Amino acid sequence: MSRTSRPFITLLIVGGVLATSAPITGQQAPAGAPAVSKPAAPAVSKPGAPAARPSKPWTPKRTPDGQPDLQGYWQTQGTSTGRQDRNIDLGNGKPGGDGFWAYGTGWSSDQQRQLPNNLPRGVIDPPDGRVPLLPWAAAAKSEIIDNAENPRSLADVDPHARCLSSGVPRTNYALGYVGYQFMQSPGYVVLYTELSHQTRIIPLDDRPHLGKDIKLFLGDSHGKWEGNTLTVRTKNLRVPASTGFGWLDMQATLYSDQLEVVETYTLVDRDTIAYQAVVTDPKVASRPWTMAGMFIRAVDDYEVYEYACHEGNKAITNIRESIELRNSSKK
Amino acid sequence: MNRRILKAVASAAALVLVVHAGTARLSGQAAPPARGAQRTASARPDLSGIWQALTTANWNVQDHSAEPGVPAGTGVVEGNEIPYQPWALAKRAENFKGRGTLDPENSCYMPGVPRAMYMPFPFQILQSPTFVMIAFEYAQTVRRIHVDRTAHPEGIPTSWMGDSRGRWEGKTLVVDTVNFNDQTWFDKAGNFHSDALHVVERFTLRGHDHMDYEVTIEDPKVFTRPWTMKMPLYRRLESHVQLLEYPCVSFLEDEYVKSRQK
Repeated sequence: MSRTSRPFITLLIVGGVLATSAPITGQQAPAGAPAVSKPAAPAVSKPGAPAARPSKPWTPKRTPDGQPDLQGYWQTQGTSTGRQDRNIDLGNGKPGGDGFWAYGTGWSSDQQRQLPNNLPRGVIDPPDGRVPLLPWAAAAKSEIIDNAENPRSLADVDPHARCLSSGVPRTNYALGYVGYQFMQSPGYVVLYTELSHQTRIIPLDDRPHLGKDIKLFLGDSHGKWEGNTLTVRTKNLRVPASTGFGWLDMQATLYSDQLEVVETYTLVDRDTIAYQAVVTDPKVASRPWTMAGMFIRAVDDYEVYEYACHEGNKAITNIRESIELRNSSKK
Repeated sequence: MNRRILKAVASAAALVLVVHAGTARLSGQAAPPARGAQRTASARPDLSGIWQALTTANWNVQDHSAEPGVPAGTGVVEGNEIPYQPWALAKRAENFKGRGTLDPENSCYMPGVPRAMYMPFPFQILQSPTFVMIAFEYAQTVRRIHVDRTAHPEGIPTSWMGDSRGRWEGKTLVVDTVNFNDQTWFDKAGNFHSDALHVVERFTLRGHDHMDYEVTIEDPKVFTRPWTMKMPLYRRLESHVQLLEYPCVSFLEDEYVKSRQK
Protein backbone atom coordinates (compact mmCIF):
# COMPACT_ATOMS: atom_id res chain seq x y z
CA MET A 1 0.00 0.00 0.00
CA SER A 2 1.51 3.31 -1.01
CA ARG A 3 1.84 6.09 1.46
CA THR A 4 -0.23 8.48 -0.56
CA SER A 5 -3.38 6.45 -0.29
CA ARG A 6 -3.36 6.27 3.48
CA PRO A 7 -5.34 9.48 4.21
CA PHE A 8 -7.93 8.34 1.73
CA ILE A 9 -8.29 4.96 3.43
CA THR A 10 -8.49 6.61 6.84
CA LEU A 11 -11.25 8.92 5.72
CA LEU A 12 -13.10 6.08 4.11
CA ILE A 13 -13.02 4.22 7.40
CA VAL A 14 -14.31 7.30 9.23
CA GLY A 15 -16.98 7.65 6.60
CA GLY A 16 -17.81 4.00 6.89
CA VAL A 17 -18.13 4.19 10.65
CA LEU A 18 -20.45 7.17 10.37
CA ALA A 19 -22.41 5.44 7.70
CA THR A 20 -22.94 2.34 9.77
CA SER A 21 -23.44 4.06 13.11
CA ALA A 22 -26.95 4.26 14.50
CA PRO A 23 -29.56 4.63 13.25
CA ILE A 24 -28.49 2.79 10.13
CA THR A 25 -27.33 -0.28 11.98
CA GLY A 26 -29.27 -3.47 12.23
CA GLN A 27 -28.94 -5.29 8.96
CA GLN A 28 -30.82 -8.34 10.08
CA ALA A 29 -32.78 -7.87 13.26
CA PRO A 30 -35.65 -5.50 12.55
CA ALA A 31 -35.00 -3.00 15.32
CA GLY A 32 -38.52 -1.74 14.99
CA ALA A 33 -40.20 -5.06 15.55
CA PRO A 34 -43.19 -4.35 17.72
CA ALA A 35 -43.12 -5.37 21.36
CA VAL A 36 -45.96 -7.83 20.95
CA SER A 37 -44.12 -9.82 18.33
CA LYS A 38 -41.56 -12.49 18.91
CA PRO A 39 -38.01 -11.40 18.33
CA ALA A 40 -37.74 -11.25 14.59
CA ALA A 41 -34.28 -12.68 14.31
CA PRO A 42 -34.06 -14.81 11.20
CA ALA A 43 -34.50 -18.44 11.99
CA VAL A 44 -34.27 -21.50 9.83
CA SER A 45 -37.89 -22.14 8.97
CA LYS A 46 -37.67 -25.89 8.57
CA PRO A 47 -35.25 -28.43 9.87
CA GLY A 48 -33.07 -29.65 7.08
CA ALA A 49 -33.47 -26.47 5.08
CA PRO A 50 -30.39 -25.51 3.09
CA ALA A 51 -27.84 -23.44 4.95
CA ALA A 52 -28.44 -19.73 5.19
CA ARG A 53 -26.66 -17.51 2.75
CA PRO A 54 -23.73 -15.78 4.41
CA SER A 55 -24.85 -12.35 5.55
CA LYS A 56 -22.67 -9.62 4.18
CA PRO A 57 -22.66 -6.11 5.59
CA TRP A 58 -24.89 -4.14 3.31
CA THR A 59 -25.98 -0.53 3.29
CA PRO A 60 -28.84 0.44 1.03
CA LYS A 61 -28.90 3.49 -1.19
CA ARG A 62 -30.77 6.50 0.17
CA THR A 63 -33.66 8.41 -1.33
CA PRO A 64 -33.24 12.21 -1.61
CA ASP A 65 -34.98 12.61 1.77
CA GLY A 66 -32.71 10.05 3.45
CA GLN A 67 -34.90 6.94 3.53
CA PRO A 68 -33.34 3.54 2.80
CA ASP A 69 -34.23 3.10 -0.86
CA LEU A 70 -36.47 0.09 -1.48
CA GLN A 71 -37.92 1.36 -4.74
CA GLY A 72 -38.56 -0.92 -7.65
CA TYR A 73 -40.56 -4.01 -8.48
CA TRP A 74 -40.95 -6.90 -6.09
CA GLN A 75 -42.76 -10.19 -5.71
CA THR A 76 -44.11 -11.77 -2.59
CA GLN A 77 -42.95 -15.07 -1.19
CA GLY A 78 -43.65 -17.22 1.82
CA THR A 79 -46.08 -15.04 3.76
CA SER A 80 -49.16 -17.02 4.71
CA THR A 81 -51.79 -17.61 7.32
CA GLY A 82 -49.99 -20.75 8.31
CA ARG A 83 -50.89 -24.39 8.50
CA GLN A 84 -54.46 -25.17 7.73
CA ASP A 85 -56.38 -28.21 8.76
CA ARG A 86 -58.41 -28.16 5.61
CA ASN A 87 -58.04 -26.58 2.24
CA ILE A 88 -60.30 -25.57 -0.55
CA ASP A 89 -58.81 -27.07 -3.66
CA LEU A 90 -59.41 -24.59 -6.44
CA GLY A 91 -57.62 -26.71 -8.97
CA ASN A 92 -54.16 -25.29 -8.75
CA GLY A 93 -53.36 -25.88 -5.15
CA LYS A 94 -51.50 -28.40 -3.15
CA PRO A 95 -53.76 -29.42 -0.30
CA GLY A 96 -52.12 -29.69 3.08
CA GLY A 97 -48.92 -28.17 4.24
CA ASP A 98 -48.54 -24.47 4.56
CA GLY A 99 -51.72 -22.52 4.29
CA PHE A 100 -50.87 -20.30 1.45
CA TRP A 101 -50.67 -23.14 -0.94
CA ALA A 102 -52.72 -21.99 -3.87
CA TYR A 103 -50.71 -18.99 -4.88
CA GLY A 104 -47.44 -17.54 -3.82
CA THR A 105 -45.48 -20.68 -4.45
CA GLY A 106 -43.44 -18.96 -7.09
CA TRP A 107 -43.73 -17.40 -10.48
CA SER A 108 -42.37 -18.84 -13.70
CA SER A 109 -39.07 -20.54 -13.13
CA ASP A 110 -37.13 -18.35 -15.55
CA GLN A 111 -37.95 -15.39 -13.35
CA GLN A 112 -37.19 -17.11 -10.12
CA ARG A 113 -34.36 -15.81 -8.03
CA GLN A 114 -32.65 -17.92 -5.48
CA LEU A 115 -34.62 -17.46 -2.30
CA PRO A 116 -32.96 -16.79 1.01
CA ASN A 117 -33.62 -19.73 3.31
CA ASN A 118 -32.76 -17.99 6.52
CA LEU A 119 -35.92 -15.94 6.76
CA PRO A 120 -38.99 -17.15 8.62
CA ARG A 121 -42.18 -17.94 6.71
CA GLY A 122 -45.78 -18.58 7.55
CA VAL A 123 -47.27 -18.13 11.01
CA ILE A 124 -44.31 -17.85 13.37
CA ASP A 125 -46.32 -17.03 16.47
CA PRO A 126 -48.04 -18.96 18.02
CA PRO A 127 -45.45 -21.71 17.72
CA ASP A 128 -47.95 -24.27 16.40
CA GLY A 129 -48.20 -22.21 13.21
CA ARG A 130 -51.95 -21.74 13.40
CA VAL A 131 -54.04 -18.61 13.62
CA PRO A 132 -55.51 -18.60 17.17
CA LEU A 133 -59.11 -18.27 16.02
CA LEU A 134 -61.89 -17.93 18.57
CA PRO A 135 -64.25 -20.94 18.46
CA TRP A 136 -66.98 -19.09 16.56
CA ALA A 137 -64.47 -17.97 13.90
CA ALA A 138 -63.04 -21.47 13.55
CA ALA A 139 -66.58 -22.83 13.12
CA ALA A 140 -67.49 -20.14 10.58
CA LYS A 141 -64.35 -20.90 8.60
CA SER A 142 -65.12 -24.59 8.58
CA GLU A 143 -68.70 -24.01 7.44
CA ILE A 144 -67.63 -21.68 4.66
CA ILE A 145 -65.10 -24.24 3.42
CA ASP A 146 -67.84 -26.90 3.47
CA ASN A 147 -69.95 -24.68 1.25
CA ALA A 148 -67.21 -23.29 -0.96
CA GLU A 149 -68.34 -25.22 -4.03
CA ASN A 150 -71.97 -24.24 -3.58
CA PRO A 151 -72.01 -20.92 -1.73
CA ARG A 152 -75.09 -20.31 0.37
CA SER A 153 -74.70 -16.58 0.12
CA LEU A 154 -72.11 -13.94 -0.63
CA ALA A 155 -70.63 -14.57 2.80
CA ASP A 156 -69.29 -17.85 1.38
CA VAL A 157 -67.49 -16.11 -1.48
CA ASP A 158 -63.96 -14.80 -1.13
CA PRO A 159 -63.94 -10.98 -1.35
CA HIS A 160 -61.15 -11.35 -3.93
CA ALA A 161 -63.58 -13.14 -6.23
CA ARG A 162 -65.94 -10.19 -5.70
CA CYS A 163 -63.16 -7.77 -6.72
CA LEU A 164 -63.21 -6.09 -3.34
CA SER A 165 -60.07 -4.80 -1.73
CA SER A 166 -57.71 -7.38 -0.24
CA GLY A 167 -57.42 -5.39 2.97
CA VAL A 168 -54.25 -5.27 5.03
CA PRO A 169 -52.16 -7.38 5.32
CA ARG A 170 -53.65 -9.63 2.60
CA THR A 171 -52.43 -7.28 -0.15
CA ASN A 172 -48.94 -8.49 0.71
CA TYR A 173 -49.59 -12.14 -0.08
CA ALA A 174 -52.44 -11.60 -2.48
CA LEU A 175 -51.26 -13.67 -5.40
CA GLY A 176 -47.85 -15.04 -6.18
CA TYR A 177 -47.90 -14.02 -9.80
CA VAL A 178 -48.76 -10.36 -9.41
CA GLY A 179 -46.20 -7.66 -8.87
CA TYR A 180 -45.57 -5.02 -6.27
CA GLN A 181 -43.95 -1.65 -6.62
CA PHE A 182 -42.36 0.31 -3.83
CA MET A 183 -42.06 4.00 -4.60
CA GLN A 184 -40.78 6.69 -2.27
CA SER A 185 -41.79 10.33 -2.35
CA PRO A 186 -40.38 12.72 0.29
CA GLY A 187 -42.10 11.83 3.57
CA TYR A 188 -43.91 8.80 2.11
CA VAL A 189 -43.51 5.17 1.22
CA VAL A 190 -45.98 4.00 -1.41
CA LEU A 191 -46.70 0.30 -1.78
CA TYR A 192 -48.54 -0.51 -4.98
CA THR A 193 -50.15 -3.92 -5.40
CA GLU A 194 -50.79 -4.90 -9.00
CA LEU A 195 -53.86 -6.95 -8.04
CA SER A 196 -56.85 -4.61 -8.18
CA HIS A 197 -54.53 -1.57 -8.35
CA GLN A 198 -54.38 -1.21 -4.59
CA THR A 199 -52.15 1.62 -3.48
CA ARG A 200 -51.06 2.05 0.11
CA ILE A 201 -49.77 5.56 0.81
CA ILE A 202 -47.80 5.41 4.06
CA PRO A 203 -46.86 8.76 5.62
CA LEU A 204 -43.72 8.86 7.76
CA ASP A 205 -44.53 11.92 9.85
CA ASP A 206 -46.13 12.10 13.28
CA ARG A 207 -49.67 12.92 12.20
CA PRO A 208 -52.44 11.46 14.37
CA HIS A 209 -54.40 8.42 13.19
CA LEU A 210 -57.80 9.08 11.63
CA GLY A 211 -60.81 9.28 13.90
CA LYS A 212 -62.52 5.97 14.65
CA ASP A 213 -65.52 6.77 12.43
CA ILE A 214 -63.46 6.73 9.24
CA LYS A 215 -62.98 3.20 7.94
CA LEU A 216 -60.89 2.30 4.90
CA PHE A 217 -60.35 -1.07 3.19
CA LEU A 218 -56.61 -0.41 3.17
CA GLY A 219 -56.80 1.21 6.58
CA ASP A 220 -54.93 4.20 7.91
CA SER A 221 -51.23 3.35 7.82
CA HIS A 222 -48.39 5.22 9.50
CA GLY A 223 -44.75 4.32 8.96
CA LYS A 224 -41.44 4.87 10.73
CA TRP A 225 -37.93 3.96 9.65
CA GLU A 226 -35.53 2.57 12.22
CA GLY A 227 -32.32 1.50 10.57
CA ASN A 228 -33.26 -0.58 7.55
CA THR A 229 -36.64 -1.49 9.00
CA LEU A 230 -39.87 0.24 8.12
CA THR A 231 -42.53 -0.32 10.76
CA VAL A 232 -46.10 0.33 9.60
CA ARG A 233 -49.06 0.54 11.97
CA THR A 234 -52.48 0.18 10.37
CA LYS A 235 -55.86 0.82 11.95
CA ASN A 236 -59.33 1.96 10.84
CA LEU A 237 -59.79 -1.09 8.63
CA ARG A 238 -63.11 -1.49 6.86
CA VAL A 239 -64.96 -4.74 6.13
CA PRO A 240 -67.56 -5.36 3.40
CA ALA A 241 -70.94 -4.20 4.69
CA SER A 242 -72.73 -6.95 2.76
CA THR A 243 -71.08 -9.76 4.70
CA GLY A 244 -69.73 -8.11 7.87
CA PHE A 245 -66.24 -9.64 7.73
CA GLY A 246 -63.23 -9.62 5.48
CA TRP A 247 -61.07 -12.62 4.63
CA LEU A 248 -57.36 -12.87 5.43
CA ASP A 249 -56.85 -15.71 2.96
CA MET A 250 -58.67 -17.90 0.46
CA GLN A 251 -59.78 -20.16 3.29
CA ALA A 252 -62.14 -17.83 5.10
CA THR A 253 -59.87 -16.84 7.96
CA LEU A 254 -62.08 -13.89 8.82
CA TYR A 255 -61.20 -10.44 10.07
CA SER A 256 -63.35 -7.78 11.68
CA ASP A 257 -63.35 -4.00 11.78
CA GLN A 258 -61.37 -4.31 15.02
CA LEU A 259 -58.34 -5.54 13.11
CA GLU A 260 -55.06 -3.75 13.73
CA VAL A 261 -51.82 -4.69 12.02
CA VAL A 262 -48.20 -3.84 12.77
CA GLU A 263 -45.92 -4.72 9.88
CA THR A 264 -42.16 -4.62 9.56
CA TYR A 265 -40.36 -4.43 6.24
CA THR A 266 -36.62 -5.00 6.67
CA LEU A 267 -34.23 -4.51 3.79
CA VAL A 268 -31.94 -7.48 4.22
CA ASP A 269 -30.00 -7.03 1.01
CA ARG A 270 -30.53 -5.46 -2.38
CA ASP A 271 -32.98 -8.14 -3.44
CA THR A 272 -34.74 -9.12 -0.21
CA ILE A 273 -37.18 -7.49 2.15
CA ALA A 274 -38.00 -9.58 5.22
CA TYR A 275 -41.66 -9.08 6.08
CA GLN A 276 -43.59 -9.67 9.27
CA ALA A 277 -47.09 -8.71 10.34
CA VAL A 278 -48.51 -8.83 13.84
CA VAL A 279 -52.26 -9.24 13.56
CA THR A 280 -54.52 -8.21 16.42
CA ASP A 281 -58.26 -8.74 16.13
CA PRO A 282 -60.05 -9.37 19.44
CA LYS A 283 -63.37 -10.18 17.72
CA VAL A 284 -61.81 -13.05 15.80
CA ALA A 285 -58.62 -14.27 17.47
CA SER A 286 -57.83 -15.10 21.09
CA ARG A 287 -54.50 -13.28 20.96
CA PRO A 288 -52.23 -11.38 18.58
CA TRP A 289 -50.40 -13.58 16.10
CA THR A 290 -47.55 -13.05 13.68
CA MET A 291 -47.00 -14.05 10.09
CA ALA A 292 -43.74 -13.78 8.19
CA GLY A 293 -42.47 -13.94 4.66
CA MET A 294 -40.52 -11.82 2.24
CA PHE A 295 -40.49 -9.71 -0.85
CA ILE A 296 -37.98 -10.68 -3.53
CA ARG A 297 -36.84 -8.11 -6.06
CA ALA A 298 -38.26 -8.87 -9.49
CA VAL A 299 -36.05 -9.42 -12.49
CA ASP A 300 -34.55 -6.30 -14.04
CA ASP A 301 -36.97 -5.71 -16.88
CA TYR A 302 -40.03 -6.54 -14.80
CA GLU A 303 -43.05 -4.28 -15.17
CA VAL A 304 -46.49 -4.35 -13.62
CA TYR A 305 -49.58 -3.93 -15.74
CA GLU A 306 -53.08 -2.80 -14.98
CA TYR A 307 -55.00 -5.55 -13.16
CA ALA A 308 -58.38 -3.85 -13.12
CA CYS A 309 -60.55 -6.71 -11.79
CA HIS A 310 -63.49 -4.87 -13.38
CA GLU A 311 -64.62 -8.11 -14.90
CA GLY A 312 -65.68 -8.82 -11.36
CA ASN A 313 -67.94 -5.81 -11.10
CA LYS A 314 -70.36 -8.06 -12.94
CA ALA A 315 -69.25 -11.23 -11.17
CA ILE A 316 -71.35 -10.26 -8.18
CA THR A 317 -74.48 -10.50 -10.34
CA ASN A 318 -73.36 -13.79 -11.82
CA ILE A 319 -72.37 -15.34 -8.50
CA ARG A 320 -75.58 -14.26 -6.85
CA GLU A 321 -77.70 -15.53 -9.71
CA SER A 322 -75.96 -18.86 -9.75
CA ILE A 323 -76.55 -19.19 -6.01
CA GLU A 324 -80.24 -18.46 -6.51
CA LEU A 325 -80.52 -20.80 -9.45
CA ARG A 326 -78.95 -23.60 -7.46
CA ASN A 327 -81.17 -22.93 -4.45
CA SER A 328 -84.32 -22.94 -6.57
CA SER A 329 -83.35 -26.17 -8.33
CA LYS A 330 -82.92 -27.87 -4.96
CA LYS A 331 -86.49 -27.08 -3.94
CA MET B 1 1.12 13.45 -6.24
CA ASN B 2 0.05 16.10 -3.77
CA ARG B 3 -2.86 16.96 -5.99
CA ARG B 4 -3.91 13.32 -5.97
CA ILE B 5 -3.87 13.30 -2.18
CA LEU B 6 -5.92 16.46 -2.04
CA LYS B 7 -8.40 15.03 -4.49
CA ALA B 8 -8.70 11.85 -2.47
CA VAL B 9 -9.12 13.79 0.77
CA ALA B 10 -11.71 16.06 -0.80
CA SER B 11 -13.78 13.25 -2.25
CA ALA B 12 -13.62 11.21 0.94
CA ALA B 13 -14.60 14.23 3.00
CA ALA B 14 -17.49 14.86 0.64
CA LEU B 15 -18.54 11.23 1.06
CA VAL B 16 -18.47 11.60 4.84
CA LEU B 17 -20.56 14.75 4.63
CA VAL B 18 -23.09 13.17 2.33
CA VAL B 19 -23.39 10.04 4.43
CA HIS B 20 -23.61 12.07 7.59
CA ALA B 21 -26.25 14.36 6.16
CA GLY B 22 -28.26 11.31 5.18
CA THR B 23 -27.97 9.93 8.69
CA ALA B 24 -29.06 13.18 10.26
CA ARG B 25 -32.06 13.44 8.00
CA LEU B 26 -32.99 9.84 8.56
CA SER B 27 -32.99 10.13 12.32
CA GLY B 28 -35.28 13.10 11.80
CA GLN B 29 -37.80 10.66 10.29
CA ALA B 30 -38.06 12.17 6.83
CA ALA B 31 -39.95 15.33 7.68
CA PRO B 32 -42.57 16.29 5.09
CA PRO B 33 -41.44 19.02 2.73
CA ALA B 34 -41.66 22.47 4.24
CA ARG B 35 -44.60 24.57 3.09
CA GLY B 36 -43.55 26.75 0.21
CA ALA B 37 -40.90 24.31 -0.91
CA GLN B 38 -41.73 23.80 -4.56
CA ARG B 39 -38.63 22.08 -5.81
CA THR B 40 -37.74 18.46 -5.38
CA ALA B 41 -34.21 17.33 -4.66
CA SER B 42 -33.69 16.89 -8.38
CA ALA B 43 -34.62 20.57 -8.88
CA ARG B 44 -37.86 19.69 -10.66
CA PRO B 45 -41.04 21.47 -9.62
CA ASP B 46 -42.61 19.56 -6.75
CA LEU B 47 -46.16 18.56 -7.67
CA SER B 48 -46.61 16.26 -4.70
CA GLY B 49 -49.62 16.75 -2.49
CA ILE B 50 -53.39 16.29 -2.48
CA TRP B 51 -55.20 18.08 -5.31
CA GLN B 52 -58.69 18.41 -6.71
CA ALA B 53 -60.37 20.05 -9.68
CA LEU B 54 -63.31 22.33 -8.91
CA THR B 55 -65.25 22.19 -12.14
CA THR B 56 -68.50 20.65 -13.28
CA ALA B 57 -66.63 18.85 -16.08
CA ASN B 58 -67.47 15.41 -14.71
CA TRP B 59 -71.14 16.14 -15.44
CA ASN B 60 -70.40 17.73 -18.81
CA VAL B 61 -67.11 19.03 -20.19
CA GLN B 62 -69.05 21.52 -22.32
CA ASP B 63 -71.27 24.48 -21.34
CA HIS B 64 -74.42 23.24 -19.66
CA SER B 65 -77.41 24.49 -17.66
CA ALA B 66 -78.33 23.04 -14.30
CA GLU B 67 -80.56 19.99 -14.04
CA PRO B 68 -81.72 18.19 -10.92
CA GLY B 69 -78.52 17.00 -9.23
CA VAL B 70 -76.34 18.62 -11.89
CA PRO B 71 -74.71 22.01 -11.22
CA ALA B 72 -74.60 24.40 -14.17
CA GLY B 73 -71.16 25.00 -15.58
CA THR B 74 -69.09 26.83 -18.11
CA GLY B 75 -67.29 24.23 -20.17
CA VAL B 76 -63.60 23.37 -19.97
CA VAL B 77 -63.26 22.68 -23.71
CA GLU B 78 -61.33 25.35 -25.61
CA GLY B 79 -63.90 26.96 -27.93
CA ASN B 80 -66.58 24.73 -26.35
CA GLU B 81 -67.03 22.62 -29.51
CA ILE B 82 -65.80 19.03 -29.67
CA PRO B 83 -64.88 18.18 -33.29
CA TYR B 84 -66.78 14.89 -33.62
CA GLN B 85 -66.94 13.03 -36.90
CA PRO B 86 -70.60 12.86 -38.06
CA TRP B 87 -71.18 9.24 -36.96
CA ALA B 88 -69.60 10.01 -33.60
CA LEU B 89 -71.81 13.04 -33.04
CA ALA B 90 -74.83 10.78 -33.50
CA LYS B 91 -73.38 8.26 -31.05
CA ARG B 92 -72.70 11.02 -28.54
CA ALA B 93 -76.38 12.09 -28.80
CA GLU B 94 -77.43 8.49 -28.16
CA ASN B 95 -75.09 8.27 -25.17
CA PHE B 96 -76.55 11.51 -23.80
CA LYS B 97 -80.07 10.13 -24.03
CA GLY B 98 -79.16 6.96 -22.18
CA ARG B 99 -76.63 8.53 -19.82
CA GLY B 100 -78.56 7.58 -16.69
CA THR B 101 -77.68 3.92 -17.24
CA LEU B 102 -74.91 3.96 -19.85
CA ASP B 103 -72.35 6.11 -18.04
CA PRO B 104 -69.46 3.76 -17.21
CA GLU B 105 -69.17 5.49 -13.82
CA ASN B 106 -72.31 3.55 -12.84
CA SER B 107 -70.28 0.33 -13.08
CA CYS B 108 -67.48 1.64 -10.86
CA TYR B 109 -64.94 1.22 -13.61
CA MET B 110 -61.76 3.23 -13.37
CA PRO B 111 -62.69 6.50 -15.06
CA GLY B 112 -59.90 6.76 -17.65
CA VAL B 113 -57.87 9.83 -18.52
CA PRO B 114 -58.52 12.71 -18.28
CA ARG B 115 -61.85 12.08 -16.49
CA ALA B 116 -60.14 10.84 -13.33
CA MET B 117 -58.47 14.24 -13.00
CA TYR B 118 -61.73 16.18 -12.71
CA MET B 119 -64.08 13.82 -10.92
CA PRO B 120 -65.35 15.41 -7.70
CA PHE B 121 -62.83 13.49 -5.59
CA PRO B 122 -59.31 14.41 -4.46
CA PHE B 123 -56.17 12.70 -5.70
CA GLN B 124 -52.63 12.55 -4.38
CA ILE B 125 -49.53 13.08 -6.48
CA LEU B 126 -46.41 11.25 -5.29
CA GLN B 127 -43.21 12.11 -7.03
CA SER B 128 -39.71 10.69 -7.27
CA PRO B 129 -37.03 11.73 -9.75
CA THR B 130 -38.07 8.99 -12.20
CA PHE B 131 -41.66 8.19 -11.35
CA VAL B 132 -44.93 9.96 -10.64
CA MET B 133 -47.81 8.09 -9.07
CA ILE B 134 -51.27 9.62 -8.93
CA ALA B 135 -53.59 7.85 -6.49
CA PHE B 136 -57.27 8.75 -6.61
CA GLU B 137 -59.81 8.56 -3.83
CA TYR B 138 -62.34 7.25 -6.37
CA ALA B 139 -62.49 3.45 -6.76
CA GLN B 140 -58.81 2.87 -5.87
CA THR B 141 -57.92 4.29 -9.26
CA VAL B 142 -54.25 4.92 -9.84
CA ARG B 143 -52.02 6.27 -12.58
CA ARG B 144 -48.41 5.13 -12.81
CA ILE B 145 -46.32 7.55 -14.83
CA HIS B 146 -42.77 6.66 -15.87
CA VAL B 147 -40.63 9.82 -16.02
CA ASP B 148 -37.46 8.09 -17.15
CA ARG B 149 -37.24 8.73 -20.91
CA THR B 150 -38.68 5.30 -21.69
CA ALA B 151 -41.09 4.90 -24.60
CA HIS B 152 -44.56 3.34 -24.56
CA PRO B 153 -44.06 -0.41 -24.76
CA GLU B 154 -45.35 -2.14 -27.87
CA GLY B 155 -47.99 -4.81 -27.88
CA ILE B 156 -49.32 -4.63 -24.34
CA PRO B 157 -53.05 -5.05 -23.73
CA THR B 158 -55.30 -1.99 -23.61
CA SER B 159 -56.24 -0.68 -20.21
CA TRP B 160 -58.60 1.67 -18.38
CA MET B 161 -55.94 4.19 -17.36
CA GLY B 162 -53.54 3.76 -20.29
CA ASP B 163 -49.77 3.66 -20.39
CA SER B 164 -48.29 7.00 -19.29
CA ARG B 165 -44.79 8.35 -19.96
CA GLY B 166 -43.86 11.76 -18.58
CA ARG B 167 -41.10 14.23 -19.29
CA TRP B 168 -40.20 17.65 -18.02
CA GLU B 169 -40.33 20.60 -20.41
CA GLY B 170 -38.87 23.34 -18.25
CA LYS B 171 -41.30 23.75 -15.36
CA THR B 172 -44.05 21.71 -16.99
CA LEU B 173 -44.62 17.99 -16.55
CA VAL B 174 -45.85 16.67 -19.88
CA VAL B 175 -47.54 13.26 -19.74
CA ASP B 176 -48.23 11.26 -22.89
CA THR B 177 -50.75 8.44 -22.53
CA VAL B 178 -51.93 5.79 -24.98
CA ASN B 179 -53.12 2.17 -24.84
CA PHE B 180 -56.64 2.87 -23.65
CA ASN B 181 -59.67 0.66 -24.06
CA ASP B 182 -62.84 2.21 -25.52
CA GLN B 183 -64.96 1.70 -22.40
CA THR B 184 -64.72 5.07 -20.64
CA TRP B 185 -66.41 8.42 -21.23
CA PHE B 186 -65.08 11.94 -20.66
CA ASP B 187 -68.12 12.90 -18.58
CA LYS B 188 -71.66 11.90 -17.58
CA ALA B 189 -72.97 13.58 -20.73
CA GLY B 190 -71.82 10.84 -23.10
CA ASN B 191 -68.71 12.41 -24.58
CA PHE B 192 -66.61 9.44 -25.62
CA HIS B 193 -63.52 8.15 -27.41
CA SER B 194 -62.18 4.99 -29.05
CA ASP B 195 -59.17 2.80 -28.29
CA ALA B 196 -57.16 5.10 -30.59
CA LEU B 197 -57.25 7.77 -27.88
CA HIS B 198 -54.00 9.64 -27.33
CA VAL B 199 -53.89 12.07 -24.42
CA VAL B 200 -51.20 14.68 -23.77
CA GLU B 201 -51.42 16.50 -20.44
CA ARG B 202 -49.45 19.46 -19.20
CA PHE B 203 -49.11 20.12 -15.46
CA THR B 204 -47.65 23.54 -14.62
CA LEU B 205 -47.37 24.76 -11.05
CA ARG B 206 -48.56 28.38 -10.79
CA GLY B 207 -48.03 28.83 -7.06
CA HIS B 208 -47.81 26.59 -4.03
CA ASP B 209 -51.51 25.90 -4.04
CA HIS B 210 -52.64 25.70 -7.63
CA MET B 211 -51.48 24.46 -10.98
CA ASP B 212 -52.63 24.77 -14.55
CA TYR B 213 -53.86 21.57 -16.11
CA GLU B 214 -54.16 21.36 -19.88
CA VAL B 215 -55.06 18.24 -21.80
CA THR B 216 -55.09 17.62 -25.54
CA ILE B 217 -57.29 14.84 -26.87
CA GLU B 218 -56.47 13.12 -30.11
CA ASP B 219 -58.50 10.23 -31.52
CA PRO B 220 -58.58 9.92 -35.32
CA LYS B 221 -61.37 7.32 -35.14
CA VAL B 222 -63.77 9.73 -33.40
CA PHE B 223 -62.67 13.35 -33.90
CA THR B 224 -61.70 15.38 -36.97
CA ARG B 225 -58.81 17.13 -35.16
CA PRO B 226 -57.19 17.27 -31.71
CA TRP B 227 -58.97 19.38 -29.11
CA THR B 228 -58.04 20.77 -25.72
CA MET B 229 -59.46 21.16 -22.22
CA LYS B 230 -58.05 23.47 -19.55
CA MET B 231 -58.73 23.94 -15.87
CA PRO B 232 -56.86 24.73 -12.68
CA LEU B 233 -56.15 22.07 -10.07
CA TYR B 234 -56.25 23.22 -6.45
CA ARG B 235 -54.28 21.96 -3.50
CA ARG B 236 -56.46 20.72 -0.63
CA LEU B 237 -55.44 22.84 2.34
CA GLU B 238 -57.45 21.40 5.22
CA SER B 239 -55.10 20.82 8.13
CA HIS B 240 -55.65 17.05 8.38
CA VAL B 241 -56.37 16.39 4.74
CA GLN B 242 -55.62 12.82 3.76
CA LEU B 243 -56.58 10.68 0.81
CA LEU B 244 -59.47 8.45 1.89
CA GLU B 245 -61.44 5.84 -0.08
CA TYR B 246 -64.59 5.79 -2.14
CA PRO B 247 -64.94 1.99 -2.42
CA CYS B 248 -67.29 2.01 -5.36
CA VAL B 249 -67.25 -1.73 -6.09
CA SER B 250 -68.23 -2.49 -2.51
CA PHE B 251 -71.17 -0.07 -2.80
CA LEU B 252 -72.23 -1.76 -6.01
CA GLU B 253 -72.35 -5.05 -4.12
CA ASP B 254 -74.34 -3.55 -1.23
CA GLU B 255 -76.79 -2.03 -3.68
CA TYR B 256 -77.20 -5.32 -5.47
CA VAL B 257 -77.79 -7.24 -2.26
CA LYS B 258 -80.39 -4.69 -1.15
CA SER B 259 -82.18 -4.81 -4.48
CA ARG B 260 -82.49 -8.61 -4.21
CA GLN B 261 -83.86 -8.42 -0.70
CA LYS B 262 -86.81 -6.26 -1.71
